[in-house]
Amino acid sequence: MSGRLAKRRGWRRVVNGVNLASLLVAVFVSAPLYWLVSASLKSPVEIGATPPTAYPHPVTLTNFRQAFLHYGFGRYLLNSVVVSLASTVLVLALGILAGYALGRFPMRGKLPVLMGLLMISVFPAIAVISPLYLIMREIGWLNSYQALILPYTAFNLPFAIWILRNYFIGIPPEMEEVGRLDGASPLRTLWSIILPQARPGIFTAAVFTFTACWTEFLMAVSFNSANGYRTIAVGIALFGSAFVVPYGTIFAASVAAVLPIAILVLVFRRSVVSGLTAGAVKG
Amino acid sequence: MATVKLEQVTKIYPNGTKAVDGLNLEVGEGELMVLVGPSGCGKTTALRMVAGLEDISDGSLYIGQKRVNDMSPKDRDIAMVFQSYALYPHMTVAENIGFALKLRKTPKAEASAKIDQAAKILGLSEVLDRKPGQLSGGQRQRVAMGRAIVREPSVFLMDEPLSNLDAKLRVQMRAEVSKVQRTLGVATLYVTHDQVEAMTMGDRVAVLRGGVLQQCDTPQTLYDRPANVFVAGFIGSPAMNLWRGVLEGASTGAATVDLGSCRLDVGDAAMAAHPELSRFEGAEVIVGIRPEHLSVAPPSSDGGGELRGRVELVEALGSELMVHFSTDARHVKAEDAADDPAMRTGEVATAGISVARVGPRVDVKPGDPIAFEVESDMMHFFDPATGGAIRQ
Repeated sequence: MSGRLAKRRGWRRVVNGVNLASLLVAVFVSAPLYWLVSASLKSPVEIGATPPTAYPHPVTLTNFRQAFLHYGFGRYLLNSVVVSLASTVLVLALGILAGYALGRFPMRGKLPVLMGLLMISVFPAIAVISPLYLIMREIGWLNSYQALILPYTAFNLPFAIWILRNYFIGIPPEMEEVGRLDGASPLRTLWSIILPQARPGIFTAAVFTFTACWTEFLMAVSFNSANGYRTIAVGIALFGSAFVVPYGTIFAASVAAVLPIAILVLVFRRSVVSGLTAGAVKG
Repeated sequence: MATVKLEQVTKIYPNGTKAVDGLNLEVGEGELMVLVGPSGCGKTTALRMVAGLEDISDGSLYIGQKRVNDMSPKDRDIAMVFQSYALYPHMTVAENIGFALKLRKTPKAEASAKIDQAAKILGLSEVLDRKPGQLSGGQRQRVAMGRAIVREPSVFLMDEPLSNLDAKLRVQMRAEVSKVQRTLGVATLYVTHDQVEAMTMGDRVAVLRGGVLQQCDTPQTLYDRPANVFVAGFIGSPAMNLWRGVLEGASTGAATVDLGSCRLDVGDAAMAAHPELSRFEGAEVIVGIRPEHLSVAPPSSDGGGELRGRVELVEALGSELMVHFSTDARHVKAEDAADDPAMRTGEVATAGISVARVGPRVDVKPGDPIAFEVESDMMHFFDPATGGAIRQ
């Protein structure tokens, strides 16, 4: 009896240890975020104060006003929305078809294709920036939405295909068979039977793609540096001038940029987690 | 007129495996035909070929009057119930049942009337708005049935539809499926590995093994007159006892068969029923006796003409006792009989455990010596070389 109790107490110690560790991680991760949000609400003077203040006092929206009114951050936000949304839609449209085909249909050379996709998805973007820049300049696409949408689609498609393919594999093949018997065409089967069941996988692919496009900097700054086509990442980086670094404005713009992603992940968090683990449990 | 007819239907997979070999089968109008056999015997492949989910490598498949080898599944006028049910998880019960009607552009009012009717037959009216995830196993099974019957096909195909249910529910659904099938009078091809299911549900039962049809007949005929050792061992629970024995005295009119050290009389009636037995004079035969045809001999008997052994285990089922006993006779396992070359030379024939089904009041304990009387006209004889039954 006492041995069991002692064992239990020992176990509780382990659990508490785990809790403490996760708390530390949480603090470690959220501290910079807290700093970002709190600084965005401070006056420029308070931001530069030594020692730094723990919370904004008084709270001010000057930085946000500055970012949106003076620097025109709204335009950058719009550009990012257009580019990220268009790329995500394209990635999903192509990724669903490709992932379904690679997951379900018997075909030759499936493995090389999958390996190739995996290699592309870890390919460093910087290696293709220069040639892509030359191509874009040649076809007159510099400073346009398509200059980002197309490469974003290409770079994010492989990973999306992998996620979607794994999800499709987890759906029992009887689903297609019963669809065939019910008289559904292959496209109808995909649309009415398979896709509704693959929703978590689709959400996961969508969230990952959208986030990647939203935060992309290298291509955006190389291809679209004209003011009218800057995305948020480029916009924030180019705030100020050679002599001024408007920290408050940068913080405020960053908060505005992080917010949509945070909401997106919060709303879809269940689906995203189940989408990521799907292949693991269903085999 | 047969509703489904398979003529020399063969399935060879690209890797060369012959899953189904020259299968001939006819399912009559309104008949429930059960395909039964151990796993990997080709029964599901055969069913899937009828459904159109697998190509037919050779032979012809007719549904109604038409040869449908190359017809797509949806045009074959069939409906199939899968082992996993394969319900659409994102649709309600009503949508699941009505999906095929929707695809055929059946008018809404007509479709919903059909759905309601099917739901009524299956007792699903209360749960039409639920999703499959909220249903019990039995209800899911019924939805799968509903999806099949709402289409009013000319053939039902069922692939182990009850094997995902627990034992009690399975017995109940067995009766329900039979009832629905009988009510609708639709020809049905039903696949199962469970011989009890096959016996209780089938109008006729086709026993498959290694892609080859062993026997196709009514359940009672399969039980009474199995065509070979495999069918004898497969149909019936507990299985028929099979031993190797040597036939003596067939020509003298007082035929006996030696099972180990026991000599059993083969009565005149048995000899008359199996005239071909005389060919095996002095040779080995496989003798089969069902557990219920062994009865405990009175202790006073002299020990001649009986099967003697030692009790190993007694299972009391209340209504009867299953007495497991060992003998010195060479035991034959039906699974590996006939086409196992080692079996033919008798190398692996070992002493196995035999079973007798006796009355509940018999006093037997493990370890006791025991003797059984054998109803000689209930003995089955098989040719050890081919595994086939010795009859005429």
